Amino acid sequence: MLQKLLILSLLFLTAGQLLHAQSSDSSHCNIQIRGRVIDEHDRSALDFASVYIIELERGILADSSGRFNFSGLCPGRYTFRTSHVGCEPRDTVIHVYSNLSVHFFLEHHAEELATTVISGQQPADHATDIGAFVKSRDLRDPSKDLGQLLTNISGVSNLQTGPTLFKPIIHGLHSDRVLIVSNGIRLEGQSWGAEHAPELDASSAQSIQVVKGAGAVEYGADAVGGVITLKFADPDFRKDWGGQINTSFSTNNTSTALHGRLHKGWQAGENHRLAIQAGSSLKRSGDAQAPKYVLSNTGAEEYSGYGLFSWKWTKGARSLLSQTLYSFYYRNTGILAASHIGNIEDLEIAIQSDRPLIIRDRTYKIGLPRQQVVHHTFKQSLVYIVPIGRFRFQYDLQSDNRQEYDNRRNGRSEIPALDLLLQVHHLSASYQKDWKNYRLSSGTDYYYKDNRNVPGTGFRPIVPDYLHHVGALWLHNRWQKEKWTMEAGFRYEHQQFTAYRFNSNNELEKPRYTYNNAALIIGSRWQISREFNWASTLGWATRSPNASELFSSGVHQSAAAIEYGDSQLRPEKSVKWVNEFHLQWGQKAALKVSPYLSYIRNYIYLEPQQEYEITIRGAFPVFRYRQQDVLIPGLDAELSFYPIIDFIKLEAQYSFIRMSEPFGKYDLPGTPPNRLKLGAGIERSAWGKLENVYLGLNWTYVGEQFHVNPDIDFAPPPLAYHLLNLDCSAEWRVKSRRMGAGLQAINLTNSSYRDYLDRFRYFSDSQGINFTFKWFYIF
Amino acid sequence: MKKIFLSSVIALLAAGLFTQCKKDDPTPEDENELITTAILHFSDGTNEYSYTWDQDGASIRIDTIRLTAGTEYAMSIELKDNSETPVIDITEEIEAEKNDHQFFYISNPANLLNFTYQDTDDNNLPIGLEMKVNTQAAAGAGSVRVILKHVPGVKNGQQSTGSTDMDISLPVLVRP
Repeated sequence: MLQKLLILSLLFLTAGQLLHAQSSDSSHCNIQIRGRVIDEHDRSALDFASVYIIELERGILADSSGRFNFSGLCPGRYTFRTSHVGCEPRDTVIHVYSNLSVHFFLEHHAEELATTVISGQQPADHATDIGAFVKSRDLRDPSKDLGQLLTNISGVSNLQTGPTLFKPIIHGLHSDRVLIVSNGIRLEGQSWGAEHAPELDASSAQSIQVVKGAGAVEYGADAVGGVITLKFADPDFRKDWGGQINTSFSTNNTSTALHGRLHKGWQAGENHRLAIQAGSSLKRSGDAQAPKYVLSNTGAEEYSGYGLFSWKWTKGARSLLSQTLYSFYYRNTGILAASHIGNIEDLEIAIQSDRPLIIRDRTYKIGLPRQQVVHHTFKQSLVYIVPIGRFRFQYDLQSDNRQEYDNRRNGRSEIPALDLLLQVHHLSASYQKDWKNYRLSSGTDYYYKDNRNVPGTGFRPIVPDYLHHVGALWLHNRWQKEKWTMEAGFRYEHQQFTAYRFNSNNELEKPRYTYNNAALIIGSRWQISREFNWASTLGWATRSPNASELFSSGVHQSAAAIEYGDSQLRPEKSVKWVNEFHLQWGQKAALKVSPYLSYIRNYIYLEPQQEYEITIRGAFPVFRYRQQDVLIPGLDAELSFYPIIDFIKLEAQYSFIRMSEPFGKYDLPGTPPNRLKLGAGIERSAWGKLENVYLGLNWTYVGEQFHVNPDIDFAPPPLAYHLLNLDCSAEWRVKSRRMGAGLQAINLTNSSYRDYLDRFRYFSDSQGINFTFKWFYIF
Repeated sequence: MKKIFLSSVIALLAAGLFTQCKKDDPTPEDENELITTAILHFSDGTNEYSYTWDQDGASIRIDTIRLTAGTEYAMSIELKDNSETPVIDITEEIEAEKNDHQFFYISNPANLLNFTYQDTDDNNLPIGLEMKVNTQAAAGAGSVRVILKHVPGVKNGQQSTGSTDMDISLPVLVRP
C-alpha cells in the first residue's frame, strides 16, 4: 500500500508548464513553481496544505483549492516537503531549471486526526521553529535510543551514563529543562536525575523533531532548553493491512533489536470509519566493549508496545474523531560494575586506574547495579470539527515506576534501593480556528502528579513523596504570508507543589509551594531575498525547582557525593533568543548559521563545596543546590556543498557553546565542549533500481572542555578526540513492497577515548568500534 | 453513538481523577543498610579492652585505642546498627557473607601495630573479623584505619577492589 503511494507521490509534471522558457543561468533567480497539492485517493484538492522547501527553509500554505506558488527560486536541487494535517509529510526532490507546474500527491486521511496535535508539531505548523527532524533512514534502526538518534542534529549532545543511558542535551540544557512530547502527551517520568534516560521507545516513532528554543506553549512553561517531539504514524482508515518491520544487529554489544507495527482501517458504516495500529519493539544487548576491555555489566533489555484505536464519524461538514492509545515501556539496564563505589576514595582509586577495576567475560546477563523502568501511558482524545472551528479534549494517564538495584548485604540486593512510582493524570481542552492566513489556537489543561516512594527499600528516599497540581491556560497565534510567517504564543501556569518529607527526626513535614509561571514565545521567519532567509525566535520560560533540587539530602550513591537541596529555591526564569540565517547559493552550496543567546535567572545547579562530610563510610565531598544567573551564548553552523555533481555532498557541522555566570571566568560543569563534524557522501533518491541511496563517511571532532574549572572536578576533562564513522543505506522494491538495508560503523579506527559528557569517564573508556546492520521491510 | 462515547469517556475521566485525589501520608523508611557503630575488642589473654567508633546522628564518638608496647593481642571487630530497636548485629551479616567482604587494617605509622588475619573464607581469602595484633617494642602514637570492603563476586584480597561499606580511623596510643 505504502509503496503504491510512493509511486503516486512521485512528481507529476503536467504538460505545458514552461510558462516562460528560462535559461538555467544561476544568476537568474526568478524561477516560479506553481502547483497543487492533491489527495491521491480521490484526487480532491488539499486545502491549506503546506509546501516547504527544506534547503531554503521556506514554506508556504496552499490556498483553499490546494494551489501554491513559489517565486524567485534559483535553479537547483530542492527537496519539497509537502504536508497536510492528518497526512504523513512527504519529500520530493526536484531539479529545478525553469518554471514548472507540479502536482504533489499526499496520502491523505481526510483530516481524520488533524488535531492529534493541536499545533506546533508539523513543520508547516511551526514554520518559525528553529531545529531539525531526525532523518527517516536513522529511524529505521530500532537499536537506537532517543538520545542516539538526535546526535546528528547540530546543537544537540548527550549526557551519557556509560554506553547504555543517553539523555539529550539541547544547547547545554537537559533533564527537566528539555520537554519531551510523545503523541501529544508530555512525557512525565523521573527526569530530574542525570542518569535517568527518557522513558520511551523511540523506534516506534514515525517522526522526531527537535526545537531548539522555548517551543510549545501547549505543553509547558518550562521548556528552558528546548522541545523534542515524537509522533507515531497517523492512523490509516482505509481497508488494507499494512505495516513495517525494522531490525538491526550491532557487533560491539551484540545487540539485536526488532520493531514491528501493523495497521488496518475499516469503513464501519455509512458515517463511521475505524482504524487500528499496533506496534512492538524488542531489544536486547550484552556487555559493550571499549577497544581494550569489556565494559562489564552494560547490557540492557527493553520491551515496549502500543495499540492505537481510532474512530471517526462524519456527517456533512461535521466530524468527530476519537483516539484511544495505550503503550508500555520496560527497560532493564545494567550499570557498569566498576562504577559502583562506596566513597570518595573508591572513586579516586577508580580514576587512578586506567582500566575499570572490574572486568569480567562478556555476557548478556544483567547484574548489579541496575535500573529498571516500567512506563505505562493511556490516552483518550476527542476532536470535534464543526464549521466554527475544531474542539479537542484529551485525558491522559502516565504511570512511571523506577527501581534501582545495588550491591547490598544480607540478600537485600533483590530489594530495590530506590523505588519510585509517579502517576500523572492530565486533562486538556482546546480550540483551533483557521482563516486564510491566520490560525488561532487556545486551550487549557490540568495536571495531577503524584509521586510516591514505594515502601520497603530500606533507604531514606532521595526525593520525597509529593503532590503536584498544575493548571494552565494558553494561546497561540500564527500569521502567514508568502514571504513572512509570524507566531506568538503565551502560557500561564498555576502550580501547587506539596512535599511529604521526613526531617532528620523522622517527623513528617508537608511544605507547600505555590508558583505562577509564564511562558511567552514570539517567532518569525522571513524570506528576505531569493538566497537568504532569516528566522528568529524569542522565548521566555519559567521552571519551578523540582523535588530533588528542593529536598535532596544525603549520599548520592552513583556520584559518591553528599548532596543537599535547598528548600528556598526560586523558579528559574529564562529568556532565549535563537536566530537562524540560511543562505542558498543555487545548487552549489547552502549555509545555515544559528547563533543563540540565553540568559537564565536563578539557574539551579549543584555547587561543589570546599568541605568533606565524615561518615562511617568515609569522607564524602559535599554539593549544594545553588542559584546563579547564567549567560549562555552559542552557535550552531551547517554548511553543505555539492562540488562536482549534485549528488555528491560535502558537509560540515560546528557547534560552540559557553555557559557561565555573566562574564565569569569558568564555565559551569557539564558545559558541552565544541564539536566539529565533516562529512562526504553520496545521496540520491533513485539510482538504478535502488532508491534513497546514501553512502557517507564522516569525521567527528570533539574538543577538550578547557573552559571549566578543573579544580572542582574529580578528574580533569578528558582530552579531545575524533571519530571516523561510516553510514550507508539503500532501498529497493520487492514486488510492490519496499525493502531496505544499511550498514553503519561508528569509531572505525577503534580508538580509545573518553567523553566529557559521559558520567562514566572516571571509570572507563567509551565504546569501541561498532558495526550495525539494519534491514527493514515496509508493506 | 456519540452520546454513549462521550459519557463513557467522562466516566473514565472521573474514575481516573477522583479515585486518588487524597494523598496518604507516607511512612518513614527503616534504614537497614546502616552501620552506626564499630567496636574493636582487644584481649591480651588476661584482660579485655574495647574501643568504639560510634555515630549517632550528627555526633560522633571516637575512642583512643590504648595498648601496651611489645604485646600480642587477639582482636575482633563488632559492627552494629544502633539506630534501630532492637539493635541490628551487622557482624552476623558480614559473617554470613564472608566471601563478599573483607576488612583492612592500616596502621600509621606502619610499624606501630602489626595486623595478621586469623580467619579465612570459603576461598581461603582473609575476612578480618578476627585478627592478631602485635604492638611495636617502643612506645608510640598514631592511628589505625579500618576499612570494610564489599566485594560481591570480585574478592581478591586487594584493598582497591569493590566498594567501601565502612572507612573509619581511631587514634592509637602505645604505652611502655
